[in-house]
Amino acid sequence: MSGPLFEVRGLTKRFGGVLAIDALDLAIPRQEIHALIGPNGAGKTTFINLVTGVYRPDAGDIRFEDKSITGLRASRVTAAGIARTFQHPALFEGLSVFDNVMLAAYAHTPRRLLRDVMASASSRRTEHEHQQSARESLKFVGLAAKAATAVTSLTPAERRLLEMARAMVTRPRLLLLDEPFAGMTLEEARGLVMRVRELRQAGVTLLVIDHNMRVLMKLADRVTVLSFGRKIAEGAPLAVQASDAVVNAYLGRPRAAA
Amino acid sequence: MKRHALGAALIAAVILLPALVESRYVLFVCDLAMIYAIVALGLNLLMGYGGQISVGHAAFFGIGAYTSAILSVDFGWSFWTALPASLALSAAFGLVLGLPTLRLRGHYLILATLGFGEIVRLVLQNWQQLTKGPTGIVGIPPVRLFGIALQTERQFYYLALAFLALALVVTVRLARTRMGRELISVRDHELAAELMGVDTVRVKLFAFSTSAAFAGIAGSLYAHMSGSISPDVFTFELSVALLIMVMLGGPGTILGPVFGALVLTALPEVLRDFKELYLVFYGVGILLLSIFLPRGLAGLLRRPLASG
Repeated sequence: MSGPLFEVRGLTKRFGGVLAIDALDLAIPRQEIHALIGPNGAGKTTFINLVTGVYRPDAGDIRFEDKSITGLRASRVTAAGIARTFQHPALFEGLSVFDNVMLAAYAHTPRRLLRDVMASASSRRTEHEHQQSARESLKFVGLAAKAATAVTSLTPAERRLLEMARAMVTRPRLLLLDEPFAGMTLEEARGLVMRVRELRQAGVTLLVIDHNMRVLMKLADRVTVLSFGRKIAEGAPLAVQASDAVVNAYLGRPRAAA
Repeated sequence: MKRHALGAALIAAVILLPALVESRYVLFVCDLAMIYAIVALGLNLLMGYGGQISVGHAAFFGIGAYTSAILSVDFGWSFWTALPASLALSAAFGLVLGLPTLRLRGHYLILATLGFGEIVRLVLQNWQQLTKGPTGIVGIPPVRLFGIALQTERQFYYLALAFLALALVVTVRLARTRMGRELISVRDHELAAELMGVDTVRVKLFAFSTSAAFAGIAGSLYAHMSGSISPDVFTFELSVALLIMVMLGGPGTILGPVFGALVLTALPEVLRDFKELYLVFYGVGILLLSIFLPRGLAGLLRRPLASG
């Protein structure tokens, strides 16, 4: 493993005539907290959807742990070690909080349908192990007390935390968080910032998306700024914040030599 | 505790019923209800858990029935050897329907399954050499168990009950383990399910084929119970009735479809005295039940959100 943990080269995605992502290059080294910011419509969520196999790129290569994952199905990308959360939490309303996490806990387990139906000892052992990690995951985000409740009774912030627990239980090496702070109070956001730092300590690499720069400036090691699908700046938070291109993109002045 | 007592009483009643009831007619309706309950349990896996609607399930029931009928009448197979063939062929047709409909949802899936049901019915009606056409197949031998032919409704009752119990056990095991969660995840948010590592294609194909396999087993039982079958049994009306059994009973619950099957099989019999008005009462009855029991009959027993 010589190169960065995660790298995209020349990534391009068109929707009809619109270039949603335009020849994007991005590399994230191991254990970095990388922020991807940009105005609404800059292509941030499209980028996550490309990486996680929701969309197929029109051009370019996505590499993770020195292997190409370009064009893999979403479930294969998860199995490869990349997990994500959604901008608008996409939970399974028919499952309890605990079972939402349990579902994801099986991401790497080979299917043993017959053994499950026969309630074999190995099937029960596997279920027990996954229950253990589901509980740990819920405890990590602070939702242990809500395990048995229905998803519909969660607050918006709790829904985001549950998404995070669900993503964590797949034991990702790269975690993509799509606007995790949206709709959170300051205190809730602070709690989440702490969780993200703990994850990094535990060896996870993170890509965090937001259109709000302020929260991410303190959290991120490095920042990439997108505007109209193109990278207009990359670097340390303070340097990026001061760059002309970024100021222009956010304040809506005519695009300079972007 | 109260629920346990209720459950024990229910099981005792079900087992003792043939001893308590004289009427062969009532027992016949019970046998039929149990057979439909097996189909409804399978349809519930597909629809209630997996969220894929089918209005063509009479076709799988028919494929199971005709497979057993042809194998036993034309080739002299016994029920016990014909049954696995019925199961396998129905499951295979489940895949045949499942594969092209993987990308279909909602109205389009309904139309595709409706078309499938009609195609199968027309084939059964017109493939003279194999299915004997509109007259159907007669002289299907009864099920033999330990040398005894299960000819009366009373004898058949326990066979149907055993298969229903088996179907229930398989349903419980599937619903409460990994596959159950995966089916629900596909129903609730297919994309998120895929992103949580769920192979949604396999899960959907599994749902279609397993659901069809349940119907195939029930079809085989039906053929050997009634002794004769014809295409006019496996109609669109039956597919709709099966769908209503699941909806009425409580989609995504374990016992709901069984209650639904019982009510929907018994209702036409109870209303038979009303002759022409029977369909009106039937329709109004179903309308009222769906208004006042939106979570199905199973919703009566289950406290909201207490599942887990």
